[in-house]
Amino acid sequence: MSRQVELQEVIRQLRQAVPEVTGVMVASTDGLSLASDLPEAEAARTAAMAATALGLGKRIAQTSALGGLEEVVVRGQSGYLVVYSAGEKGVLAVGAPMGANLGLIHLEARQAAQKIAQILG
Amino acid sequence: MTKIAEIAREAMELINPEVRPRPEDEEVIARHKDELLGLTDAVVQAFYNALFAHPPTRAFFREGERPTREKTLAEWWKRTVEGPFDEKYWAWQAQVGLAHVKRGVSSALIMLQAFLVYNLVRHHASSPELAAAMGRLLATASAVIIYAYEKTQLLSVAETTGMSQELLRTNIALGVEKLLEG
Repeated sequence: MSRQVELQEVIRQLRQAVPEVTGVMVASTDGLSLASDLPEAEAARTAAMAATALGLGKRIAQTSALGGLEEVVVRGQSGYLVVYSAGEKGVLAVGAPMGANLGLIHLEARQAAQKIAQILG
Repeated sequence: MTKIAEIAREAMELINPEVRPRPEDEEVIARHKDELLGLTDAVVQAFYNALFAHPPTRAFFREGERPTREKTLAEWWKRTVEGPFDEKYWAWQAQVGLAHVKRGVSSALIMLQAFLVYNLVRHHASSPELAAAMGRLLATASAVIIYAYEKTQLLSVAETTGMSQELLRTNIALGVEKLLEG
């Protein structure tokens, strides 16, 4: 199975486990889109933003002595974008509407992030 | 090797050897050292008269600072004329780039001021070969200063935000695309 197919399968499983999720993106830590179910036009920008949020989140956690970064949660009036570290090379970004079960999203997305980390080696 | 020296080396590797000062340029400049040192006051005055005559560039300076800045430029000119143009000299030029970042001076101004100095030298040079040698030297020094200026900004943002240089370049590329879209 190619890496792309494996990543798409992780995305599919995550969407199946949490149907209220509105979009999933896997990016490299350099900000390049690796796999997503977002429209192609949005993928490049979302990948760069997710990697940027992760990099900044890690640095804030480090500088503020918060320990290793778990996730970055951006909460807007209409919903969430949550960014997870997926090993040394990957970033997982998950979009959800306001009122979504954030606990369930964290639970499933953290497992997905671990799988992505293994796939990216 | 220090980070600054490494940046200077990167800049020098980028510059085509045809454009860099040649060994014979160093000889020409050394032969005309006294002539060039005689231009020190003219270079310093032309440089700072231009900056102080224009309010947006004058704003880079603190009140009463000009004599100190003139002394620093005179020292730069002396070292630049006397050589040698070795790694230490290029690392020093990279350091000049950092000083300009700290002061918030645009790299566009660095290029313009170098051009001003070159024009003055070309006007006063006693031979075309001296003008050409100084042209290559000043162009290369400016290139190293500007390279260090840009590189330092990238490294600083990378350090502060935790973004890799590759991610910063991705963001820059996306931002440029957006700007080009109008």
